[in-house]
Amino acid sequence: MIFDKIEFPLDGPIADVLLVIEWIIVFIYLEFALVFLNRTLKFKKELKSLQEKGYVFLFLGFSLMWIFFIIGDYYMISLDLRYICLNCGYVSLMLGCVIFFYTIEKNKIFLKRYLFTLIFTLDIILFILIIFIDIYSGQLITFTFWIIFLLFFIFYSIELGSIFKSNPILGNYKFQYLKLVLGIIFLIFGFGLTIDFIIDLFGLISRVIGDLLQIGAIIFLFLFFISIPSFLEYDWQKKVENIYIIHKSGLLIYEKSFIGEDDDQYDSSISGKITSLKMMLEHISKKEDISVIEKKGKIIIIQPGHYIYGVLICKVKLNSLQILLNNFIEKIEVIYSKILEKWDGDLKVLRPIDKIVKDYFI
Amino acid sequence: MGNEFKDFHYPFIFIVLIIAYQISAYCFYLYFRYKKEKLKINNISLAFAFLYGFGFTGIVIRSINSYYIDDLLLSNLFIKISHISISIAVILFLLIISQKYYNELIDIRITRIVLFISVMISILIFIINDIALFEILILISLVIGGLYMLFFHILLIQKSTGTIRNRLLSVLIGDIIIIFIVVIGTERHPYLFSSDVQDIITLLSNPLVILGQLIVFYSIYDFPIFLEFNWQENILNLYILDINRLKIIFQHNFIKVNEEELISKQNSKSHNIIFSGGIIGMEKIVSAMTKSKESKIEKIRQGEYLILLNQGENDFNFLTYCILVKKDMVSIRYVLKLIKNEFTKLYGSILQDLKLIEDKESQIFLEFNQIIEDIFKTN
Repeated sequence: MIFDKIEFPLDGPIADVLLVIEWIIVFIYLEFALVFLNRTLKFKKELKSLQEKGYVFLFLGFSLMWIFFIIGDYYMISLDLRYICLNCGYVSLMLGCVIFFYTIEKNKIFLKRYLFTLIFTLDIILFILIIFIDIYSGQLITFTFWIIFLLFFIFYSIELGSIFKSNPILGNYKFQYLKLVLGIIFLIFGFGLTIDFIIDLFGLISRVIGDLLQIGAIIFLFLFFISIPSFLEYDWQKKVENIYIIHKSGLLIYEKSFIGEDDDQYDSSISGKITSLKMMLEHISKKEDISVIEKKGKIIIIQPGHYIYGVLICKVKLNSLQILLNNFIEKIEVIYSKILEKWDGDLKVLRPIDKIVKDYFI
Repeated sequence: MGNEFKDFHYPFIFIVLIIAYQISAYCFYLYFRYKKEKLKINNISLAFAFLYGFGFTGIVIRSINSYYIDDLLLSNLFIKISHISISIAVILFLLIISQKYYNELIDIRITRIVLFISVMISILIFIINDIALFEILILISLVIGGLYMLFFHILLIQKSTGTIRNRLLSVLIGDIIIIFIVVIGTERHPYLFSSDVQDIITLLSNPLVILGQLIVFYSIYDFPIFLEFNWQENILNLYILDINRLKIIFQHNFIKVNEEELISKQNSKSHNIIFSGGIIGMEKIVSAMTKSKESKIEKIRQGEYLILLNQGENDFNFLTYCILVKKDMVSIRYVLKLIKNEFTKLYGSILQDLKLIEDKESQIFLEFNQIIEDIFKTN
């Protein structure tokens, strides 16, 4: 074992190799963030893009952290400046992660709504307070970050497993898990090998190994994130209770209940109620837009199209449901625009809507 | 060059190489993705894969040699490896674009002459030791090869349409940035620039090359398939037939000549039955004659026109997609397949219930005209 303390800024032949590897790490993280950003912008109407928006920030956070690390470790002469850079790096990563957690939790509830976002925000506040008191202790307390990170991915994997189990069409989830597990293990071990204490023990070679492990981790995580299905595409099914399509003239075109209750009177009167409600809302806001009415335990989403209103009655408010309803209404209007434009009340021609509902909601 | 510049320059050289390999790998991926469509013109992806992969390997080795290698023997070795790599890139590129299916784009005899000259120069560069001659040969190869590839690229843009044209234009912009920076920034030019200017060029060269590479990468990302030139001019009409009901459920006219007459003719019930019934009748007769029920007619020639047919799949095997064309082209068959996929994707939910929308098909499928126009714009 080598017990000589490593001098900063890093210099020498191994440092040159490290510098190249670490810039490559920055670049790969940044590149993957851009890939997800591109996908998010390109497929913004797809549910998966809501989840992928979170990955952009996760990868961006890691990339920024490494830029600060490189500046601190290779270019800062003073030790204080180095620690300021390192701490800025940790904060960048934490901010990236907190936005990632928030984006995921906005559409998916793990135990409690925004649980991890809240814990992580508290962790950031704690971290900032501690580094204000002692600038050198930032690195030591990052272990709290890794615990939360690990916990989040444990819950994430459990939820993902249940999606795979209930949807055999998605294929082999063990292979997906392998990518996630290897990614997380490589990331945590790789990161561990690059901290000052370990480098002092084993020399710069441990940092080289740590960096290489992290490159492997990034690739595994990227492959995992890009191939897994979105929670949002499967998770909402239990949350939707009723769906209605109402022509703007006030006539009910289609209705379906997902909870098994069958109340004809309720159903036949709902189109009139919703049309009146929508007219009132539009009178207030002076424009036609999506309306979300919240009541304890019930959410009503009303999505206007050119000729129809789509209405969802659900248990929770999720962004994904709004997007889903919007896509559904768009599809119906693409197919039936000419019919709905001058609709004569003939319901027979609209009967195939039931199949479209099955494609989207079942 | 100051050490601080050298340190800054050094890691970025490898990032340039990594992006180049990614571009190359992506071009290989595009080649294999579209290989099954048997559109030979897509070999252009392979040409670019070699050009970026080997080309950048050579450029990076040359750059490392210029800035970081002081040993003369090692430097000579680096220069040789660099030339081999760049030569392979150029020769493979020219070899691919000298295939006969590029004749419609460029006179391939000229390409073959340029290829021959490039091979000769590459061999000479490798065997001679005279530095002055060496530099002259490199200059000649740069001028001939570079200008010819630029000319080819511009021709490719001119002949392309829609999204492909825009994407190729962006690739050209990225390439011009890369070539410009590579020429002035890959090596030190003590006779051209002062030390300070050289440092600034060095400092800026890598970020600018990366910018050029990213433009190229972004432009080729999800690049549409290359279809044969002028394929659009050979399509006349598209029909989608419901075999069960002997009915044309959708039609699209690609020519504007006598449009009204054509529409009124096609909308008539008799035209519907004659056309759809005719196709099905022919299918039955041919099946009886050939004693094969599984395979369907793929092509019917009538005088100077052709009807290409494609059968719906699985639950939609009662649909037949017909396209009336002047010339049988692989690209048109590909487009017909694309139209089939898009139609099934958009209307799949209602196609099983066509009886429910009896006589309203023309209104319901009207929106598909826009999708066909989009397919034409993309390709």
